[in-house]
This record gives sequence, structure tokens and C-alpha cells, in this order.
Amino acid sequence: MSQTALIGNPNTGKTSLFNSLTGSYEHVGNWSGVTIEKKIGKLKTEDGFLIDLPGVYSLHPLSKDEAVVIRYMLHEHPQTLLNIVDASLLERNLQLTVQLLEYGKPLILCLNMVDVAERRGLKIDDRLLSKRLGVPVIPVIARKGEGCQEISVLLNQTIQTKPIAIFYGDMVERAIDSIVRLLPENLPFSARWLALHLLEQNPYAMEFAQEWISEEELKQQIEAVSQELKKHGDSTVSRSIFNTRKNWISQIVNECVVMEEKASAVNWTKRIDDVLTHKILGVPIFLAFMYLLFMMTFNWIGTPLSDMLDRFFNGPLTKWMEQLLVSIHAGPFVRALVLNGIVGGVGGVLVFIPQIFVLFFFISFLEDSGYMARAALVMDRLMEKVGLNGKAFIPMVIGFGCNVPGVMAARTIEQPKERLLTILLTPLMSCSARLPVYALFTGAFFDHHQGEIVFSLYVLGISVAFLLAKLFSSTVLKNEASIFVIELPPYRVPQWKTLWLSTWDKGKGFVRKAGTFIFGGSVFIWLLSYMGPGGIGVSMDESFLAKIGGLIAPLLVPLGFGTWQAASSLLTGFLAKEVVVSTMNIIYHAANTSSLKGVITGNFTPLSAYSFIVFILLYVPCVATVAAIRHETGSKKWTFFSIGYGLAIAYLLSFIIYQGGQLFI
Amino acid sequence: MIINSLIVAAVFGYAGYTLYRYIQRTKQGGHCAHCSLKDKCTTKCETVKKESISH
Repeated sequence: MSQTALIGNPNTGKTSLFNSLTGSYEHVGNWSGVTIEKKIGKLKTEDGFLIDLPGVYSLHPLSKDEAVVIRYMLHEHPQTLLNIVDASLLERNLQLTVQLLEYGKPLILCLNMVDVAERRGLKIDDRLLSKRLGVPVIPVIARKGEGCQEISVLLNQTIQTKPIAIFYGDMVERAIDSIVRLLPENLPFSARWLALHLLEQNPYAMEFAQEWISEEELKQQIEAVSQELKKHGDSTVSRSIFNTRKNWISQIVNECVVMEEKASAVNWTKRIDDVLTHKILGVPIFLAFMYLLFMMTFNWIGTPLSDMLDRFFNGPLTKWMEQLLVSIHAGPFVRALVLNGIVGGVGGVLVFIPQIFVLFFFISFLEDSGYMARAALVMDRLMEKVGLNGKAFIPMVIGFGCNVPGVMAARTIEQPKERLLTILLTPLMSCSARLPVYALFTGAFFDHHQGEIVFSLYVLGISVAFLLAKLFSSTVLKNEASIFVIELPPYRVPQWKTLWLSTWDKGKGFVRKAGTFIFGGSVFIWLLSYMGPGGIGVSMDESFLAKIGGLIAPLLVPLGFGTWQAASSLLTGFLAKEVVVSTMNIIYHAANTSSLKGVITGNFTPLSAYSFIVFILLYVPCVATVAAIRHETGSKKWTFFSIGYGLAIAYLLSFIIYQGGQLFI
Repeated sequence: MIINSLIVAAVFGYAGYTLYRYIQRTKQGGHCAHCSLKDKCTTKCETVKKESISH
């Protein structure tokens, strides 16, 4: 089966093109760093695979995710390269294109975002560009799928392209020749391409070629060329190669691109940016957007929809289930299992789907409009002060959906200690699994201020993360600060299809989990509540669940929720945070969310309820996140640390809130 | 009686299966498990060579 590699700079629309050509859906974002591993999809029209690689500016990697590309090209040898470039930033994008052209494999150049380029007054002669580069050039608008058909047709044909041979000057050329002589003749790609990467001291190329050319030998070659170059005013071999390519590209761009006086779009973007990324106003604007997000989710749109769903589960659905169970003569055990275990456990979580989807819809809207990249820039100033990199904001926002991909997204951070710090702090971002717990408690105790209370929890999570970042970066994780570079994509009006797909992508895990793991967990918890040391069908207070929870409950008394019910819910919440709600539904025998709210108002006070949800926000990450932390840090020590500090900070804050609050109430 | 047994077996069987699968996925560290292409992906989730984090 043939392999086509999709390569390009970050944020050039690779994932959109991938979706159009393969028919599968992968998360698309209007900001850098969405693809962190290679993704493989089957081409729609051809018997082959399309490999989506992380966005890179050069084949010389700076971070772990960027190394995926060079390693792939060295070891897996794609038959065709599909290079996607941002037409509005052609000159910069061509730096990577040149390196791909030198690879010596057939290449198709996709000129994406031609519409944006035109709005910016850039007119690109794609035919002339094709002639000058010696490869097919297809103008596309990947988001709308325009031009994708032509690419599919081309992928079905045999494309013959010759590797370009830029003249790098006598000295560099001599070094290239002598390295090529040492390399085997049967390399699956151009030996000249590998020689150039060796001269640029690309660590992955050096590792690949070490059996033919030793590091010592290579260093001698580079040293010899550098000495010669210095005599002629160039600083290093890499710099000389870069400059030669830059000149070559500038010449082509001058020939193929006409700049018209039409800078209104750029001006608009700049004007909006002046406000949104303002030094003083930037952070309050970001917080205002977040506040609006939660008001819409909890007060204006999400909760009314959730209430409707709850009425359906409570009314018709439960009635039908009961009738069905009676009609098939189900015994009391089966009735209790289905109605209390499954409907109570799974249904209790499912009713919060509307709120979760509303929240994700607006987060997707902010991402796709281009605002999130600005938010990362605004937050960078704050994050820099606490020892984090602005790039850490991206994993943290992803963490609002689910902490697992958030922890994984930390790979885009180059500096190892900043990466570790981000991995450790991402679980403090309030993931969607915690939303049902917030919705339940805020609905019960703070009915008219749900949005504000949940907003306060998110802000608390971010603030604690920043404070701990400052603490860790000045004690256990001292590091050198690195520079944050982020590309600000042009603003755009999000498309409904993209918004829906992005919302679904974020929320589908929640729905799937309700039908699988929450189901299994609910049955297991129900069984623990139905059985006890005294046998089967015991009263709830005599059940295994009560006994286990009772062991921990005394520790929670100072926090305001020292009951076995709260302790058991917290224990099961380690499996997945939604299970806290399932457990409460089962423990309190609640027929629906409204009656559960009624029961918990009898067992909590508003103060202890707030203390409880703060504890839920901060205590241990769920088991899947713990596994991801273990995988990403490769260290048991840091995995236990992430659990330990979470518990400690949750206990401390809940203690302060409850005990401090009692002084005023 | 038979129906009761069947329902109990089906519910506990499925519940056990979902818990088992969840634990298996968790062991993977979330890599393939959280990739929306995992059903179409034909190669294993080969990630970048792990760089040890210096402490």
C-alpha cells in the first residue's frame, strides 16, 4: 500500500485537508499544536494511506512532536509528499518546501488559504510557481474542501519530479560531495538531502547515518567548512545553508507573487488584536469571555435543556422501564439493579449532556475564530511570571475537555522542566467529567448563581495551577525560561460544520463513557451498596460501600462533609469524576436529578457543598489521567507526586473554605 | 426465572466487560485510546522516542 505524507507548517490546514482526503474526522483547531503525533487515514479514492504529521517550520526538530516528522522521513519512506503551504505566508512556508523538494520523492504542493491570501492582496501565479519548483501546485481552500478533488486525482497518477539542486556555494558543495561519497548508494531518498541535514547537525539524521559516518568525522567536515565560511563572512554552515535557501525562495516569490494594495483585512485583524491582546485589558477580556461561557452553559442555555432531559428520564423513560420489567415478571433484584443501578447511575450522568455540549460548542467557537491563540498570548505574560511557558496554555485549555489529551499535548513544549510542570498542573484544569458534579451541587444550593459559582471554580483551578507553578518552578523544578512563539491566525467566522464536528469530538467521549465505563461502574457500585457483611439486600448503612466510606469519613469531618456517602463518592470518583454523581444517585436512591438535589440539600449546607466541589476540582486526577501522567513523565515519582500534591492542596483549600466560612456564617 | 437470570447475566457480563476494557485502555496511557482515528489506524501508535525528563 502506498503512503502519502502530509507535511506543512503549523496551522496551515493539514488536518482539514486530511479530513477531506480520507473522509475521517480528526480534531481541527485554528491554532498551532493540534496534531501531536502522526495520524494515519485511508485515502478515499486511492488504495493507499495518508499520514498526517505534526506541523513543523523545518525538518530540524526543536521539540518532541517536531521530531516525529524527520524520524518518519528517515525511517518510513513515503512514496509521495503532500506539502501544504499557507498561501498568505508563502515565503516563510517555502523554507520547509525546499527541504522536502531536496528529499527526492514526488511532491504535490497544496496552496491552501488562497482566499485569505487574496483578501490580503496577494495574487499568486500558481502555474509559474509550479514551473519554477518543478512540481504540481494546486490552489485549495481545505476548510471548504475546494481543490481537494484535484489532489485526489493527482494522487492516483504517477507524479515524476526531480529533486531540486540548489547551489550552496563551493565550500558547502564540496562538503556535501564528500559526505555523499561515504553514504550507501541504495538510500531510499536523496543522499544529498541527508548530507545537508548532517551538515546542519540534525541529531536524528546523525543518529541515522552513524554507521557510515562517525560523529567525529562529521564534526571535522563541519569545522573545516566553518573555517572557510568565516573567512568569507558567514557564521556557521547552518546559517549559510539557510541564507542560500532564503535567497532562492525570495527570487521565486518575487517572480510568482504580486502584492496588491489591499490591506484592509490585515488592518482589521490588527485593530481587533490591539484590544484583545492589550497589556492591561487582555486578561479581563479573557475572563469576561470565560464568564459568558459559563453563564450560557449553566444559566441561559445548558441547564434548561438538562432539566428537560431530566424530566424525560424521570417521567416517561422510568415509567416505560418499570412497565417493561413488570410485564416480563422481573424479580425485585433485577428491578433494583435496572432502576437504581443503571437508570440511577447512568441516567444521572446523562442528564448533564446538554450542559457539556453547550460548553464545548462555545470553546470550539473561541478556538476556531482564532481567539484562543490570542488568549495564549495574553496568558503568556502571566505564565512567564510563574515559570511557565505560554505554550502551556494550550494543553491547559485542552484539559478543560479531558485531562488525558491535555497531558499529552504538553509534548509541544520544548523545555523538559516546563513540560513536566505543565503535565503536573494540567489536571487542575476542570475537565468536563467534573461538570455533572458542579451542575448537581450548584443546582441544589445556588440555583440562581450557577454560572458564577462554576466560573469561580474554573478561575480557582487556574489560580491554584499558577500559584503552584510559581512554587514548583522556584523550588523542585527550577529551570531556565524559554521563549514563547505563537502564530496568530487570521480571525475567521467559524463554520457550522467545523463547529459541530469539533464540539462532537470533544463531547463524544462523555457520551461513550456513559454507555460503557459509567454503566460498568454503576453496576459495580450498586452491587457494593446492595451487599454487605450481613449478606445480600442489606440496608444501605450496612453495605460494603458504607463500611468502606466510613473508614475515610472521619478525615473529612473538618471539611464539612464527613459522611460515609461523601467519602464513598470521592473514592469512586478516582475511577472517573462523573461516577461521583452516579454513586450519589445510587446511595440516595434518587429517582432523578431533582429528587437527588432534594436529598443532598438535607445532607450538605451551601458552605459544605462549596467545600465539596472545590475538593472534587482539586483532589487526585482520575485513573486515566494518572496513567497518562505516568506515560508522559516516564516517572513513578512524579506520578505519585501529582496525586499527592492534589490531595494535599484539595484538603487544605476545602479546610480553609469550610472552617473560614463558618466564622462568617 | 430464566428471564431474570438472563438479564442479570447480560448486565453483569457487559458491566464486567466495560470495566475490563477501560482498565486495558488506561494501561495504554491514553495514546491510541484517545485518538479518534484508532479504528482506521493501521499501525500501532508509534510515538516519538521517549526523552527522559531530567530532574
